Amino acid sequence: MIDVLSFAIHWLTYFTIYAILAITLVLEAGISGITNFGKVAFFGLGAYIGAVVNTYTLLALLGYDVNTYTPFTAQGVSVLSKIAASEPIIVIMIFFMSLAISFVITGLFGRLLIYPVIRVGAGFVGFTLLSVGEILRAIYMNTHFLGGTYGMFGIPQPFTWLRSPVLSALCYLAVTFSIFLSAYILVSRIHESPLGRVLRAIRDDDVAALFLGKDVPRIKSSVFFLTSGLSGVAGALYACYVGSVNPQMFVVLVTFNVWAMIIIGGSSSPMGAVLGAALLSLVDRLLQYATPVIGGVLFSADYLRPIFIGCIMIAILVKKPMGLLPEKPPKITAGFLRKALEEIGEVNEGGCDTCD
Amino acid sequence: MKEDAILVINEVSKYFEGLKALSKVTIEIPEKCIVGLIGPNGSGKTTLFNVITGFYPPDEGKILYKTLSGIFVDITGLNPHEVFKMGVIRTFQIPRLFPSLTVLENLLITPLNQRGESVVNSLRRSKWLREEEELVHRAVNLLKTFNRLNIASKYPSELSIGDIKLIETLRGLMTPARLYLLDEPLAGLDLHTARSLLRLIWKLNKNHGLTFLIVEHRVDLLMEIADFIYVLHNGSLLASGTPGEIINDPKVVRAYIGE
Ligand SMILES: Nc1ncnc2c1ncn2[C@@H]1O[C@H](COP(=O)(O)OP(=O)(O)O)[C@@H](O)[C@H]1O
Ligand SMILES: [Mg+2]
Repeated sequence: MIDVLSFAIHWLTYFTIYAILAITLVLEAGISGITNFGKVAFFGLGAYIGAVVNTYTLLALLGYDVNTYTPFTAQGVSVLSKIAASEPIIVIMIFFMSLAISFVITGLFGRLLIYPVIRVGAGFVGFTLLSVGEILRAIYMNTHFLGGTYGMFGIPQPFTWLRSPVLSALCYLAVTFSIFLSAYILVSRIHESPLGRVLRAIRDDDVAALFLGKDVPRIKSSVFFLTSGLSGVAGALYACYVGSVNPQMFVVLVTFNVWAMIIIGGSSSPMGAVLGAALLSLVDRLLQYATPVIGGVLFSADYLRPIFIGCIMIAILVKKPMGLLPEKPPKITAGFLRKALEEIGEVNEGGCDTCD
Repeated sequence: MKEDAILVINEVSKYFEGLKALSKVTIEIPEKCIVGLIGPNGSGKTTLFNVITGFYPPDEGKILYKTLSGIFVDITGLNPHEVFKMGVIRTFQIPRLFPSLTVLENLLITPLNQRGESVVNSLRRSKWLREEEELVHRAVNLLKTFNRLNIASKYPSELSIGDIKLIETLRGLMTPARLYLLDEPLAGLDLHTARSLLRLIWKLNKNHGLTFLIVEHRVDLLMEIADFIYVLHNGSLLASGTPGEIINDPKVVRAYIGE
């Protein structure tokens, strides 16, 4: 029974982290038309920032020599696990600080990166961002203090000191869930607002939007600051959850996994992103879980995943080409329209009996 | 340069790989007037709109615009959104409605500096709900004037060609501008709707002092409200004058009918 519980916690943690990525991708790609094929760049950058802050800064703060206790040597890792178990206040403080730092740095990075390329076509934006993800990976691989190809280990989970693994995992889930919920509220509010309308207009025809007074590059880059920052936070949450980072975790496939989530769920619907993330992360976790059961290398989950995701995508796109939840006009504005029509006695929206 | 002008187009030329779309065109738009711009197809009318609104810069010449404080500023080569912010709104000859926005939403895009358009305010509904409701009212009234309340929540793909054209023009008229550039607003409209639109333009001009520069092929209708007409032909100015003078100008007749 306990197994089901820990599986559920594990899945939900993955789901909430991936849902942050999917929701922000909906705002970027589905609502604003920014073809972000470099989602993993921001996720990975946030993860590495989270890893660095939660190891080096923590060690330095507690007076350890960071040159000896590096987070990819046995000494470093064992000291870090000791700290995680015995210094709750400082570990939690550093953890939340790392989320904030990831948000700001990744957000600024996204904004700087997008500003020069936003004026060119969607294809260029996509491939620039895709390449940036690969370049960052090459940088991680070749930077000694980030652990090179092996990456960094021993990143403390902020609730390890609780001793009970289930309890500490639950606490961590509470954190990822609240950030996921905030991201969801944020994106759906933007979607319903006049800003969301402008973003959808830009997505439809950026030239016409420009002629209607919208400063398209500026609007797109401020949205991208927000979504990149949140992707960075998702990365930091991921790093602290799995306790390690390495360049192999941040390959292009991660980006397209998130794209698959929003294509399945409905690419301009925040709730669709949540559905897509829930579905694919569940498949992912089930396969991971089943690997030892169905055995060995021959049927590794990594081989089955693309087949599964492909089948799900085809099945859903055949039935619902716009994804599970297609875009709907914002409710608030539609409500005002209904009210205005009622006030002037135009109750039946289809006809025009009362107006002259 | 006349003091009462709002826009001065001074010796503006535009070439497309050897094709002279505009050559040394000089036009003054008097403030608070309705000015017509006519000419056969391909005479450069749309190109002139594109040059004024910053779609592309002219190859030579200058465009001066009188700001609210009465000073002329050089707006040659500004970005389209900057020209818009100075109070110049243009509509497109070939409508560019946003396909995934309803008619109502298309109309609601135009008003500038809506409170809910900033990232911070968009998150706090109390900041923009009132304004949004007012704007919806404005859009509904506009649609009601044209008996088009029934299309408010339709998408552009569900509209007739005439309605698409009408909404393109109404989208421009959703917010008060100092100068409107309308590119063939009557094309495709039935006579009744066309007259309603002319009446609206006339009212905005007379009651609010807004200036219009209107490209139109339905010259007879245009003449009913225009104070002054410019005629373009093969990229250069052929004639200008009051509607009465233009109708009787043999040069104009020849340009339209051919030699
Ligand atoms: N972007 C362009 N590239 C090349 N030629 C163009 C372009 N835009 C307009 N033209 C040409 O310039 C001339 C004027 O066009 P236009 O301004 O659209 O005429 P009008 O609006 O008066 O019918 C036409 O000969 C047209 O083919
Ligand atoms: Mg034209």
